[in-house]
Amino acid sequence: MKNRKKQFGAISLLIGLGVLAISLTAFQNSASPPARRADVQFDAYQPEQPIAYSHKLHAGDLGIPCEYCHTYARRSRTAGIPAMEQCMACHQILATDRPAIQQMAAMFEKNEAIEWVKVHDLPDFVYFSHKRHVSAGFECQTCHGPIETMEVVSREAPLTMGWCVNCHREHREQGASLDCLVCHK
Amino acid sequence: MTNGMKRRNFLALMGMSGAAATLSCGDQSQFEETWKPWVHPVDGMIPYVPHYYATHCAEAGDAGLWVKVVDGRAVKIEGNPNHPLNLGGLTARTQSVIQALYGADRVRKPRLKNGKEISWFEARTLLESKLQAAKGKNVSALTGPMSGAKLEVWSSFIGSMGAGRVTQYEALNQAPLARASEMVFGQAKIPLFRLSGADFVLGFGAQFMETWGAVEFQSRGLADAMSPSGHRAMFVQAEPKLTATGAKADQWLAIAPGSETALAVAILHEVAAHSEHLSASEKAMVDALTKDWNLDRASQATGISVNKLHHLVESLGHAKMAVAMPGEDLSLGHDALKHHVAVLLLNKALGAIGPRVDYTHGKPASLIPSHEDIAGLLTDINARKVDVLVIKDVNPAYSLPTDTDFSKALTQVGFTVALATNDNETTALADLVIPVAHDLESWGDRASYGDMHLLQQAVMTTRFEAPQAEDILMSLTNQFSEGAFAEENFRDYLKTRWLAKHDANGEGEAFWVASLKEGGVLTLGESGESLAVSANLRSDLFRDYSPHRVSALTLKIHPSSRFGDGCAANRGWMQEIPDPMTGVVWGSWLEISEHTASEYNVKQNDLVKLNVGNTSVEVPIMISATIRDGVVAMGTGLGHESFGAAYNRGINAFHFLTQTITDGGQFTSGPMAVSISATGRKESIVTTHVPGLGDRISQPLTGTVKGIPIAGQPVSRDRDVYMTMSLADFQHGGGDHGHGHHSAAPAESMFPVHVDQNFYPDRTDTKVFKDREETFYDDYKWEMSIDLNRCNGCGACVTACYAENNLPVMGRDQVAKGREMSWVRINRYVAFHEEGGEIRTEVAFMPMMCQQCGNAPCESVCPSLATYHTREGLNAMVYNRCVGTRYCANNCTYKVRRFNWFDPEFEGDLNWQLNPAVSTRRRGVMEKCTFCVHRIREAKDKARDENRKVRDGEMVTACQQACPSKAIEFGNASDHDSVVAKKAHEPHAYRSLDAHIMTKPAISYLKKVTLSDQAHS
Repeated sequence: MKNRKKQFGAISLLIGLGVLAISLTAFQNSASPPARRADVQFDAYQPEQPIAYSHKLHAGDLGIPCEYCHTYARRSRTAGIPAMEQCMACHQILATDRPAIQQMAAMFEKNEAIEWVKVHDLPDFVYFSHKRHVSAGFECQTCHGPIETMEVVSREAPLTMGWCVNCHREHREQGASLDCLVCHK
Repeated sequence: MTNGMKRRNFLALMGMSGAAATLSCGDQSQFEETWKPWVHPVDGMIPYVPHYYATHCAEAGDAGLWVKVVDGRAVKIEGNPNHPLNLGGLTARTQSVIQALYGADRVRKPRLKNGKEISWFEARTLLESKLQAAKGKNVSALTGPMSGAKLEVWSSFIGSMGAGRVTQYEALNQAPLARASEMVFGQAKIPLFRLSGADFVLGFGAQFMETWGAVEFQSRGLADAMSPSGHRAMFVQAEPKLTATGAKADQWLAIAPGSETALAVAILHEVAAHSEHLSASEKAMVDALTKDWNLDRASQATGISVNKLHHLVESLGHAKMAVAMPGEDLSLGHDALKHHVAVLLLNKALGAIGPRVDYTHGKPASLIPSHEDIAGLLTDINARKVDVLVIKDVNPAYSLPTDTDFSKALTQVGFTVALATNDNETTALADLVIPVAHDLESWGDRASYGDMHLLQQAVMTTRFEAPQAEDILMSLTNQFSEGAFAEENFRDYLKTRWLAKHDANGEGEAFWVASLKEGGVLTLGESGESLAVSANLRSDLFRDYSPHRVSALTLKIHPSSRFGDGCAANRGWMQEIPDPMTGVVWGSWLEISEHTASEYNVKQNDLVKLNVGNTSVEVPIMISATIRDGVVAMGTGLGHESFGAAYNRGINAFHFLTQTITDGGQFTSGPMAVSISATGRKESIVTTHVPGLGDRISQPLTGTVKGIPIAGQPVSRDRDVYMTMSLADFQHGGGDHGHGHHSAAPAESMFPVHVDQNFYPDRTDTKVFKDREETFYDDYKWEMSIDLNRCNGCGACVTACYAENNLPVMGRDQVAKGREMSWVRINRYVAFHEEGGEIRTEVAFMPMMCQQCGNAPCESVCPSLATYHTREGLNAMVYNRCVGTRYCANNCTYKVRRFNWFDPEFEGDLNWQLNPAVSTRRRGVMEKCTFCVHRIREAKDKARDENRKVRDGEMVTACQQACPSKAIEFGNASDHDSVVAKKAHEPHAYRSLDAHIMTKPAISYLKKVTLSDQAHS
């Protein structure tokens, strides 16, 4: 196992040297100026969800507050996805004729959870606390965009470090820190 | 890289090309992460918010546990801070129990002896049919030590089946002490050793800070007693091989193996003659018992000069609150009972019975199975009397003496069923193996010292659908004798029994919940009452006694604090944490003195043949300076056969025991005559200590003369990584410390005045340094203080760090290359002083982790700014910024940075144990201690919720939390009232190497205060 790792290490070292050579050549030629951060495109990430849940309907048209379902947002790092029991609290009665609801109810009967795809997913080396941001009075929309208008949720913000730091810089007075260890764990 | 290309531009470009490579890899769906919410929310459970459950497990002994559970998974075992014995501290081995919970050796499915896995239904049917056939005959059980409701269930099951019985077995136990207590004081108890009030501790070899008795309590007690701000007790340990417990002693008497009893009896004779604590009749009785013994005879037996022994007795006589700790049972052999009687009488003569040897709050002897029990069971088995044998979580096939021939005996049993959590040598012999819940997934209760009763609760859902063993038994019992148990499951049964026993006020449910929260009934009285010596103590006990002398080379077996009776040998943490005295990891070794080694013409790492009686094994040689000549020593717990290639290593020392049972109730061990012969081959021992390289206290680190004389202050003599001072100097307010440490610094300054200018240039006037004056720090300046007087090198902090910070276990070959990932290492130093023609050995331990330097050598060399100084005084390490140049590790003065040469691997389900608050680092990344920055974050988060600052003592690091002897303090040094700020200004505080190279460490060590004049400052 370790031997294979060594081989792998050696190969990656060679590849690394290759990349180094290429980048050095690129620098010397100066044919194409290196891309600036702002030029990097972040597509609106919009994965397909197992159940066609509409935030537009629930949060927008019906006006249900975010924290009614995402109850952990003010108490934990994560906002959490509501337990299926919470969905069923309403949907035992409401809209039971729709296929998506029936699909969910069937899963609930079988004690199976829906496997939602995360839209806003930070790398594992990042510590982000919903609790701190919610208690500081930020609207969910600040980072998540106009979620109440989205039929299918897409990622509005780039969620890059520069984007986080910019906001922290603007809110230093309110206690936002620029220390690396605030977010890097 | 000329043409004006700066280092940072180059790196930025490198990063960019990396980013481009990632972007061109394709769409984002490959990074897609999914999340399954709960179907039904669990009451009170919030994702990522940890819960702590108070519980207990068999391996913890009498300590209470707090298990941290995140999202339904146990992630760390800590000590229960409300438990009067351990106050939150916990031994390394108990912390590693969580690795057994997730380890690769968990039994996952029922299976037959041939290895064929069967369904739960088939297993149940098979078991029922075998039991049905044996009903009314002999169905017996063999378990580990057990009490309370669990034992009741086992007894009723065995009772309902027929003529069998429940036999308990524990390889390492305190049975001889229990018997001696019965003989001397008529108390069937193990006393509680309260060392904290002592002013003199005389040890005969018991490893009471590692394996023997209430380890955490005794460690803390001795640390209190030896604290220089109190009366600074003297500690003398008499043992042939210096153990980690003995290493704490002010004086080591390297007695001949087997002479512990002779020494105890002779000292008893001398002390009793002048004792004020014995009645006239007791005096006469002791005198009659010991009249054949005096210090001359003891000197002959032990090989210690009469003068030294006289001096010892004199010191004991002067002491007001002396206490004697007995010998290690594995070394006592046939003398065990006599030895314990002598030590108890000595304690009586010293006035220790009551205040320090407390029987009032003792532990019932019924909790301690003697080896006669299992020997009786073996007799029954060999007489073909046992039809069905039920074995639960005990491994006699490994730890019984070979001449008992346990595996052959088991073939005489009609049907053997093992209810097992982990595979081991014994489950391999069973006809049917049924997985059961681990201790952390089980319920139970247990009596303990005093009136304490520990409650064990399941902290997580059982894995592999394995029920608790007692649940299986209850259902079987109900099946064979209907209505035996009214309760549906064992938890309910336990609750009924618990309430019946302890709920005096009839509070019912409220009492139950309170007990669960507390961890049981945890009240322990302050001090015990003295007892009179029982009148029917045999008067001829020592009459014909002569010490067990071995003229040849003698083997001493000592219990290992890491592996114990062997059940911890398949846990990576325990294999990788170094032995405190030798630093050896991943394997067995034969410890031998340099002189004896040259006599036998063997060298370090030579593989020798060790012949003990009829057995012979091959084991590598470890040359040691802390063992008596003519003695070889080996620890227990290794030499397994069923744990897979990685863990089947070393030698099983239990095999050298013989099945004859001593009057102390244990299989015979004691000093054994052995011979060794070189095989001509070598097997390198992997040790984290490099003998002779930097492990001597008095060895200068460099050849330079340190210190510039200041008027009226002596020049410092040698290095100051580790420092000691004499008690006289300490009592005179600090005295000799030439560098002008804290006491010499102006009160308002955080840092000492530097006088040394010959290593690095003085950076006091440089800009970087100016920016880092006190004002540099905001509200917090996190600092740690480590009291070297309290540390005993046990390794609990190291284990806690592994558990808390997701440190990977690297394995033997990698550690051999110096690639262990441990963030805390415990430096062990030895010094040899010539005093009165004899050599005095001094051993010292020093936990060394990142010093979070205020002027850190590592920070300035990092090309990617991955490591920098935070405004809270931390030397931050941003893992994903690190590019792995390793410059920082090269430049680190304290050598505490670790590099990931590989991606971490967590075998089995050990990744379940990972702490979600800490990143797992990948290959190519440097890592190091961060003062548990995630805990700081949590503490600040909580404080912010309540709109306040973090209180002193609220923020506890993992190592501090686990330390049984409370050597570590942590807090905000900007708060001048904090414990850590006060400790930093103690007269004996110093910062390691700071006076030479001005690293401004955030850790202040408190110098070890020695009774000798030869301190190292």
